[in-house]
Amino acid sequence: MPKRKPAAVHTDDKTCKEISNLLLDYVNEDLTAPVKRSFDRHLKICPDCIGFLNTYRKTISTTQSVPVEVMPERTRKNLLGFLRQRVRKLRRG
Amino acid sequence: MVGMHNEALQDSPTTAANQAPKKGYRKPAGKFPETRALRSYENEAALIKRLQAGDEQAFETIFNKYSPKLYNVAQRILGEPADAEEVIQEVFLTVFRKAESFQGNSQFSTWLYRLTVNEALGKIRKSKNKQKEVEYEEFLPKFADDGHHAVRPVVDWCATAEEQYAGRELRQLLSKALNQLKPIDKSVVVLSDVEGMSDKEIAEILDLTVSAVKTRLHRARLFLRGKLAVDLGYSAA
Repeated sequence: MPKRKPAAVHTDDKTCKEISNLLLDYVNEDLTAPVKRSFDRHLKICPDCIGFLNTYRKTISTTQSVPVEVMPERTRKNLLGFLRQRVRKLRRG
Repeated sequence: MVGMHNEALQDSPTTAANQAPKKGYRKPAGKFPETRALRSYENEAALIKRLQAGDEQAFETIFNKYSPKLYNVAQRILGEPADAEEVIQEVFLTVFRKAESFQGNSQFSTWLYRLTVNEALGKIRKSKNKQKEVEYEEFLPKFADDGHHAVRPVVDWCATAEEQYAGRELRQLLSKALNQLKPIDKSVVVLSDVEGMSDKEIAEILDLTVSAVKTRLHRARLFLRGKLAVDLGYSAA
């Protein structure tokens, strides 16, 4: 009879606090393979950390979707006009 | 110039890593992007040389190219269009006056961002109407002694946020929370999550270590997440 493979024992199981500290590297895909495996293993048994991860990601995507502050054309023209004058003065010394 | 520190005027060494685009960053589409990038690099190098020789046309080209992005960063950090305008004015005067101090050791855009963020932070430091700083702690996650979440269940409010708020309203809540961050943390979030820069580029711009950038970014995101949770009626923890 073939020997049964022993069940894997994980000595690096993480707490929610440790998971929270790894979130930034996890979303950037910067975790090493063993740490990522440990992270994913925790997610499988912890709905709280799944909720936390999802809302952390939602916060990032909301920040990324904040619209660009567009410089009004009038401001751009005024600035350029002012800078032209100052630059000419500076060039004249 | 007032508020512009000497170290802000220097460009720091270039590395391959700090020029690498951030994950998820969309490269401009093109048939031959590498050739285009090279051509663009050569054009920019020539433009900078002309600027350093005092060429007004080169100065205007650089102003037209970079001022919209720098204005966005300045306004995000300062919150007021008039302040952002003043910052852009000071930055471009410095660009013309100190162009020779740019030695090409970092990307030109990095130098411009560095000048802009330093000028904006200097303006906040000197401001008489300083915003009262919000304590982050109240909005950060809490953990029990065994390391598990102290408040359970942690609610996944993503769907609720979509259902109850139009995207625009959610972004307004986020913008309000963003304005409550400490200025340096706000700069990190703006450069990372709004401008899409890598941690290494941000470290160079803000004269911080990469590790310090990551710590500030993570804490700031946790605070923003906590603020959004509370605004939506849930626990920040």
